[in-house]
Amino acid sequence: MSEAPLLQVQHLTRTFAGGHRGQRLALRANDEIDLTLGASGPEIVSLVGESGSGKSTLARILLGLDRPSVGRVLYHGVDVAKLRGRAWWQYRREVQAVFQDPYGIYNPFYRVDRVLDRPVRHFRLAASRREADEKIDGALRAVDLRPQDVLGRFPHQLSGGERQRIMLARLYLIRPRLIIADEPVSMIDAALRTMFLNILLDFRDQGISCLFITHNLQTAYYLGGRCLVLYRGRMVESGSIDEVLQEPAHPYTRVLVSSIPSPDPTQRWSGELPEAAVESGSPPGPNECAFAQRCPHVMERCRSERPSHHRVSGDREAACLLFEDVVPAAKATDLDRPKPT
Amino acid sequence: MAAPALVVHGLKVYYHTSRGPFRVVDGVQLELEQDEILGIAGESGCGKSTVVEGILRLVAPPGRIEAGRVLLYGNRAEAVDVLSLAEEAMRRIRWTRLAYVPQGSMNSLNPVLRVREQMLDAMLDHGARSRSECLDRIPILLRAVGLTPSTAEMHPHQLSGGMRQRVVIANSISLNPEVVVADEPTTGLDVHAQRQVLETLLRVRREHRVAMIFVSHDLAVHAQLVDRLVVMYAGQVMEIGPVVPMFRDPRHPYSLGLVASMVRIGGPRRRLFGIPGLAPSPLEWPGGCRFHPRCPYAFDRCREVVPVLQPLEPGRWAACHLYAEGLTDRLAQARREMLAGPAATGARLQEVHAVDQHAAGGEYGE
Repeated sequence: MSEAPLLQVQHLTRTFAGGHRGQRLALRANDEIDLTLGASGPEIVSLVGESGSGKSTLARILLGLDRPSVGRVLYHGVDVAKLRGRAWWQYRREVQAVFQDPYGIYNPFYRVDRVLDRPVRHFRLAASRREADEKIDGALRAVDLRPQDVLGRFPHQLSGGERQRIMLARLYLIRPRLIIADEPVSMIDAALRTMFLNILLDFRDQGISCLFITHNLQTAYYLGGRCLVLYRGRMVESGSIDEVLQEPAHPYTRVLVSSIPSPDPTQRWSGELPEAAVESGSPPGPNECAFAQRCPHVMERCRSERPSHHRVSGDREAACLLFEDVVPAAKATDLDRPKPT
Repeated sequence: MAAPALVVHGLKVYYHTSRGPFRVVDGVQLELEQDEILGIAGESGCGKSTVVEGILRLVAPPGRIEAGRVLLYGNRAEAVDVLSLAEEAMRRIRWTRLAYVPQGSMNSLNPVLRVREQMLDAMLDHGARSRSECLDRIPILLRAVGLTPSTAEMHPHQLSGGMRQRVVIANSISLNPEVVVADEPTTGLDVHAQRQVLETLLRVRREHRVAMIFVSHDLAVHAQLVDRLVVMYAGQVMEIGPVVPMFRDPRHPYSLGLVASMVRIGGPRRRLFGIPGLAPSPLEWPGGCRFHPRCPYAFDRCREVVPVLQPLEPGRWAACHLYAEGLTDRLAQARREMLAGPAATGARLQEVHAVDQHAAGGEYGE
């Protein structure tokens, strides 16, 4: 029997009340999400989807900033909602965040030193002031910053790229087990983005896993590993990023992938994207496929039945009736349980 | 050869601050041909948005246009110098001959007005005479950007980001301008909305015969849309050329770095190199070639002498001493090395890691 995976999300649903006096359905920002991360060693898992698909809601729940309405998050097999005292402190240390906006996360009244010094003190990473300074210097150098250039300065005196790298230096200092990165590179330049992603790859090689949340599929491809596609709060496809991007199965993933601009000017799009496939209508009902309103392959059953996860090939699954008969053994009931390794 | 649609000569835009002038755009020249889409690429802070503001004379204090000429030919034989026009004459040109799709413009619509009212306002304000003619034109414009005429009755919050962006594009072509300048019109949109906006721009160019300047930091977007590409760095143009050969064979070491940093889905998975170092500050550009501190192939001359844009072959220009000195074999080497992509950061991280032993549970804390 192997150890419990680093992180497991089981049947997680987060609803937000909406509408006037119950006239409209509550918004299901996360709708019965299941995922497992780090079951066999450190890994990078990309969570992709359009805006409003529930990516950030999931990130907030994993970081303990929000609670699921239904379902559980297990860390090393233990329900995160039940962690107290030292165990909670440990979770907060071992699961760290990087956010999108390198401007919004700093308190403008404090020097940037504080975001490095606080975790050293809080998580007791150093035995002395001198050791703390050495560690902070080392962490800054690890992300290609010169300590004398950034320490003692205020956030507004640094560029966006420098600020985002200080957040990485902070992670380097804390050495978490898992990084939840919510669109960390969408506001920095291409050259810096490459460096940031390389650091995440290095972290993985040093045993740090990452849930990488992005709407940019090229960066997800660069990181490799597994990929989960979210659409309107539901997981519609999962599998290795290579398979998902090169042979997308779910009709939604196909629309998504066909819209990635190819960086080759000799391979331009031919024909226009059908309008129906792009604009989302009203929120999906609980008993229909989330993509039914936009799907070019929609069938009658799609509107009256919520598709379960069907195995497409290998460890790839898609929540779509088109794949119902591909491997009849892979039914939702099997998928609800963690797979034997 | 037909006259170009727009010519920019020696444009300089400085921001005057207490710390001195920020030379954000420092001598830019480019030519926009008839019916073409010209892309401007570069990292943030390279001045690409400011070039656009300069062309449209929208630079606000403490920024000031210091020098240069912006000659608008449009589809006429005679040019007007946009920068020397009186304010009222400039107003008459904006929208009717030279239109603008600003950055983040999908959020520029007025939330309390219907799309129809906003489109009408823009047209009447920029010299359209007949209200009823404008109203007749709105459905045509909306169709031109792939929206249904009923969109006119909607409020902005009822539209997705991509739809709002297309409303702004419909607005920009409402008075049949000859040149449209779009600044990062797809940034912040989801990929499929981005694809639709790009397709809309292509359709507008095809059906309305406008010339466009398109600014984006995303090279893949340029690959899908533009005919020719301008690569800017540190307030200056580094390279200009047709998009296909520029992607296949970038000539300036900076363009090479940009092209080599792109991720190709389905391509071999290898560590990319990026461009080492940081972009310099507009307060104090490096002397000589502004790229030299980050350029792996810089030699003495690059530190001392400012390279000028020079023709390499028909249609292709680059500002790099390697060509003047006939050191093109160095660039061939650069191409090979950059595309091979050593894991520079990784090696350094391992190094630091080896020195830094991670002490858990120290005494220094709260």
